[in-house]
Amino acid sequence: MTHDKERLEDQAMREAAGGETPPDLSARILDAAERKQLDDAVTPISGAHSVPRTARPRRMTAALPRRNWQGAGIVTAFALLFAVGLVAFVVWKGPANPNTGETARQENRAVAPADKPEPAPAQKKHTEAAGNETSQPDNTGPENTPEPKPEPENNTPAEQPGPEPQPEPEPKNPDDVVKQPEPEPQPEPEPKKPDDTVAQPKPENPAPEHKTDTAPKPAPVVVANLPSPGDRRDYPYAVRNADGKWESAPLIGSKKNLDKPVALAAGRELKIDGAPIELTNGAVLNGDCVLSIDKDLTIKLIEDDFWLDSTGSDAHVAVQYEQLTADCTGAAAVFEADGRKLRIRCAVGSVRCGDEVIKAGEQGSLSDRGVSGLRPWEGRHKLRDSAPSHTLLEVGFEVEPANGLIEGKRIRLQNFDSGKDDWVAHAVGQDAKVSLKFDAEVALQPGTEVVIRYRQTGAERMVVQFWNDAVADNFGIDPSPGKPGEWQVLRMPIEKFRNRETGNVEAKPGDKWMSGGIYVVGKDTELYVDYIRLERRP
Amino acid sequence: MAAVDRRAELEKLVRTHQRGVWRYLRYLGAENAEADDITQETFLTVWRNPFDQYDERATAGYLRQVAKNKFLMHLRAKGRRPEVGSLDEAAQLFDEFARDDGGDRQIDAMAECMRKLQGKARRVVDAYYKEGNSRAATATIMQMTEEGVKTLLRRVKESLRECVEKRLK
Repeated sequence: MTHDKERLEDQAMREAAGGETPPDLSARILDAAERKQLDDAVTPISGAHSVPRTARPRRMTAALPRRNWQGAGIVTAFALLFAVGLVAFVVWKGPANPNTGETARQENRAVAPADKPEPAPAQKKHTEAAGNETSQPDNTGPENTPEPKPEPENNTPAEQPGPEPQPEPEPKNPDDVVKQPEPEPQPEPEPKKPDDTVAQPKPENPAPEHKTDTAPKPAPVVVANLPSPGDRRDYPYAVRNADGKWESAPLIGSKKNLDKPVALAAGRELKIDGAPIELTNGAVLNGDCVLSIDKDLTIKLIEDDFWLDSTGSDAHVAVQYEQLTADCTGAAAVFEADGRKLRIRCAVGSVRCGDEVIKAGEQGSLSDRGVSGLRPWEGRHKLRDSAPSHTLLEVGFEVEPANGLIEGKRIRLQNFDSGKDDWVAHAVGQDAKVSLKFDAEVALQPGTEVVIRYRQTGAERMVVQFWNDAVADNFGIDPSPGKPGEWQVLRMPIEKFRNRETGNVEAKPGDKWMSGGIYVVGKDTELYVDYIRLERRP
Repeated sequence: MAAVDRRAELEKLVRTHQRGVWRYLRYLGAENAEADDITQETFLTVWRNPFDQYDERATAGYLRQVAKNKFLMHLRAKGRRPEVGSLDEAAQLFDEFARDDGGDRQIDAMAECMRKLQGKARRVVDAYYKEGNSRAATATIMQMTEEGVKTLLRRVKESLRECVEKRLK
């Protein structure tokens, strides 16, 4: 549907821009009409015009008497035969069954050849009219008005006047058109259901007819959050309301609402423009698109493209575009609506498309025929580059770490950033240290970085290190301590972390770290740590 | 006299509805020449088989139905499929677009809105829609990335959509 709408919009834009203009075919059509002498061939009613022909006899009934009495005789004979048969049937069936009328009608329909192709209402009406040999003005509603001229062209050759010089060059009989209103090559697999699914879930704005004062409103199912209130200042978000209009307020909010967490309910259409959102299972999505998310975390892509990173989690995430579905559980990839295809570029893990798989470093297009155009992908994409990092671990000290601090203690700093109070880890003295055991082991992924925000004084050097239980050794780095007394942010890729014992083995994806910390070396040192994060670059 | 009247009637019908029929055929996926031929066939067909006309919209709908069927037969003969996903939905979308004038008002409104575009927006519309360049070629012309062109086109489209809606209100 979206594709069809876009196609129509593009066509209109091409035309409005002057790239394509409908030609004036009137001279050509009129010439063709003249050449074929259509007037003589098909105007059976003298002096009358077929367009419009509000209250004039139908062509068959008028044409027959003038041109072919034999034809009229045959039709009349058939009609009589049919009527006699019908009466006989009703009489025979009548006493036994009180519903004979309806039954007879039904059975009649079953045997009447005119009803065979399940004609449109207009056609049925025509059949009756022809049977009655009367000329009733049409009283169908406007929606039925474009009823094509009813008489079967198959009957007309005998009635065609002599002057017709050659067989009609028309490739198809008009009746092909009118009797088979849908001569489609094959039954259309109409995607009615999916559309219903898209339209149906509007938990925050139920359709007016469902609004009753007594009925309890179903609670909206939250499927995503905006990761940081501050981000909402910079990124445009909008949701589609029940009246179909885009409404930015609920997500952008007024200034005071920026501090409040904002969640996205299942089924709401969301428009994002290079803005990140975080799904409830921790997956991060950075999009330039229109989408909605079902409560089972199936992301329905409606327009354009997004980067989805669901690595580090086994929770189900799927992407649906029109009829196409791809499973992105535990993977990171770019998904792009590309006409009737879903283009997939996989960066991490693998995206499953039914029985087929698009692996990391590959790209391909999913259509109703499966995956095609599979080829390598170098991995760069605007949305991936601008996507927020995926956080594998965050220790902010706002709450006491589950396993407590091994070294250092948690303190509250007043008038910390922007005049707000904040909790940090603090250590003071010779070789001040802050270290802790994580809640759970953290598995390193490709592109993982360690990010630490700290402030120190008195440090001659500094060490950041993490404990790998599997090899029973620390992996560390010796960064420059930076300017004393100023908050610094260190960002270090895991490949820079080396085995402290030998110094020749790098940390690598797949390693698991279960504790770690930061210490400064010096006689009289002080260390504050605002946060320690392990983030995976997109 | 009758022939003259009938010719005048056909002429009126063609002049009123040919653009709508042609646009519809292009929308379904007909090439330009195919749209020309099938539009002609459509009018000749209904000319030979007169029908009741109640209003322009119903007439336009009927003409499109005839055109669609002819086009589908043409596609079947060629082993092709229509470009739209669902014929029914496409028909509905087009009907909303075309209303009773075959889409003339929409196109006029769009053209008016386009005239107001300036700078990059104007250039991207010219390069992509007027000159018919691909997105990649447009990116080269505009000295932008393909992604940048895509984003710019989307934004231009959105503003045009709003402008057209306002004009048609």
